[in-house]
Amino acid sequence: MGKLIIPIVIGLCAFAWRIYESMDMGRTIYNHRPGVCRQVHGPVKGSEDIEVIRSEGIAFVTSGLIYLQPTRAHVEGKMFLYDFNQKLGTGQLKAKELPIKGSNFDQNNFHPHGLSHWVVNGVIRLYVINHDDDFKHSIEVFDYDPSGPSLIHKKSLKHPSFIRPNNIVAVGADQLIITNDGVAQTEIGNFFEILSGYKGGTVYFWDGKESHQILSGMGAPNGIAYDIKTNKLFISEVNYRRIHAYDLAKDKKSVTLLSTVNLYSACDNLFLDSDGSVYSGCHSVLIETAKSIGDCDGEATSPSQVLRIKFDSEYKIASVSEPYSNDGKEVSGSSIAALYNNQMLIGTVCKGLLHCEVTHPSVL
Amino acid sequence: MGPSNFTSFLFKLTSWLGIVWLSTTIVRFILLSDSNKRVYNHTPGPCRILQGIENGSAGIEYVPELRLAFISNGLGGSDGEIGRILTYEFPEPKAEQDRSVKIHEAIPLKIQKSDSFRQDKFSPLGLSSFTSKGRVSLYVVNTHPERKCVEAFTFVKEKSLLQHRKSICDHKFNSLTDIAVVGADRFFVTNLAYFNNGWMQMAELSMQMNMGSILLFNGKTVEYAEKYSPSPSGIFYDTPRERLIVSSMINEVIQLYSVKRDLSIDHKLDISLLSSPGGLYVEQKSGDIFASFHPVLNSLIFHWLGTNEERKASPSQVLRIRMQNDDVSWVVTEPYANDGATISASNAVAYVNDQLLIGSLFGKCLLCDVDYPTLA
Repeated sequence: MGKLIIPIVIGLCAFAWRIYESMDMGRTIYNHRPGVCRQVHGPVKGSEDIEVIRSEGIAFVTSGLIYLQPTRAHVEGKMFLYDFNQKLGTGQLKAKELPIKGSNFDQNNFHPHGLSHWVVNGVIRLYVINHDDDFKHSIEVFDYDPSGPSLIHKKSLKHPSFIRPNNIVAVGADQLIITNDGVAQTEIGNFFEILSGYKGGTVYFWDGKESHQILSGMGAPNGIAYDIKTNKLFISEVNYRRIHAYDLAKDKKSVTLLSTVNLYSACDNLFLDSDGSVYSGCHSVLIETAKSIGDCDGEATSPSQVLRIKFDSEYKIASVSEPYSNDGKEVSGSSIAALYNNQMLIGTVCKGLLHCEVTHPSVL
Repeated sequence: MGPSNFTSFLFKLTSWLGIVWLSTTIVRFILLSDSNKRVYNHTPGPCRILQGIENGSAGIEYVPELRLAFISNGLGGSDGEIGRILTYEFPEPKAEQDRSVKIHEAIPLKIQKSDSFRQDKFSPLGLSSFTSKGRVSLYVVNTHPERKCVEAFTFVKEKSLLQHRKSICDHKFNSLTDIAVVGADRFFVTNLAYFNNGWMQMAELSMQMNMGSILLFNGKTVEYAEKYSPSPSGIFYDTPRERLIVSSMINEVIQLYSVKRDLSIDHKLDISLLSSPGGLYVEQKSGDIFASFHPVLNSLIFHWLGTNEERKASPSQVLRIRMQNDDVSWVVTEPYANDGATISASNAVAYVNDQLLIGSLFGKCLLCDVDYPTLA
């Protein structure tokens, strides 16, 4: 019995070290920004995902996410519209709340997560992942009505393959690829799922009627982006702090892995810029992120980071740069960075929305 | 307990204490080596390499009266490759529109020898200067193992020439790294460690033994200003505020001292940065401290052990520390960071007219525009 003590102690020390490293406990964050930054008035309860419509110069923002937190069901889920054409000057920047019309739509059970869009018959159609008060999942489909402006609810998609959907990307009209970042439906369950290292993440393709599994056995696939020009799919695998680049098959029911880039940061949602580079909002110190997401309506903040991944033409080699980094006091818990015309919007899981001006493309 | 039991108890106690000390030293070294630290690239604006510098720009001294930066070169050279000093002239502040067109070139200076100077035993590292009545005196730390000296030169601008005046040598100059001039022939120098170089120095630094020192040359003799200092690498004298800034490479702090009339120094505070500082520069007007860093120490070790043909890249970083009005708190921002692909092992820095000049230990020298100085 005495002889077992030494290997047990060594094992515990090794485990403690692994936790220390994986929770980023010794990590130092230095602040820097690409230009003037300020908070956008409107999305107080966060801005977890942002979808930019380049042809119109606008962006849709989801706000009011509750994630495995039944005690926060009272938080109102909202959709916001940010107009990139608004004057920057010194005044307050605003995002407009979009009213949602539709008889089948239950505003009280709306907590939006990831979103994507597709232009169907000249109308901008939004696909938004929703979790209701009981953390049951669906994909809500809205058409954008610029005259309001408002959103008109068209339908609600439910399917057993929407296990724990996090993010979504449209690859055709009503054709969607969604990421399930795990299996557990409760906070405790999720805690054990992460601790045990169980790879329960999956990626599904919804063709409008049926669901097809594209990938399985992943460590929390979270952000997803699709480059229609090159037919490339990008997925961020949070638990392993890496991003994968895939070729999407013609029938969209399978993918071929091209390369994997280690980011050494827990990166959340992905955004594809017009030059083909992929941006991500990342959580650079996970222990702080865990604390601040557990205190969404309180004072705790966590460091934020924006990473930019630029691939070569073959999508085999990537270079990574860091356009923005903050210790949490300017923006907390960044989950996405979206760019348009020398402007950067940094969305957060549950605390506000930041706008930064990009003074020169070389700082990206 | 008989005598033999006592001795065996003592023996067990000593060996257990020895094992504990060894384990803590090893763990502290692993933490120090930054094995899990990552550096992401970003710049404060467009950057370009200075032409004319290939194998080292390990020390930079900016002289505002001449708008000239002196750069020490040649640390990356093998035995026999000469150490040189080059200059880079910053454009006049109003000539901004020409910035993008101008060729950024560093000009090498000729050295006029005196009796005591040996060109083949000149390995320059830290530099500092003293300007009086239009005359610039340049003091250069010579790290060549056979010359534990500070070389003093007079700069002759019209001839692009450095006239060697004298060598100030002392047996206390164990591992000279950097120099800060406070008056005519009066300066502070740093000894990084007790041992000069090689494996002994590396072991001493790895065990974090804090056996470096800060020395003062008062015009006649060399005295200890601080006999035991934690691996002081860079040193800079902030004239308007009468402050001595010292960077501690292994303890990863920047120390502030106030300097009295008699040139004695008083330790005021430590700024903890969790990254290994090397070169220092204080912006005269604002008092902001710019420092260059080696963010990942294990990469620096591999970089240092390489040869000029093959050197593993080591990340670079520049931080800007703004002391607040109460003089005891500060704000830190990071204008520049690189994983080593553009510039490796940044060892010197200067900030002039919204441009950042960054020198590397064994490689090229980078000049970056800082587009939004209040934010970077």
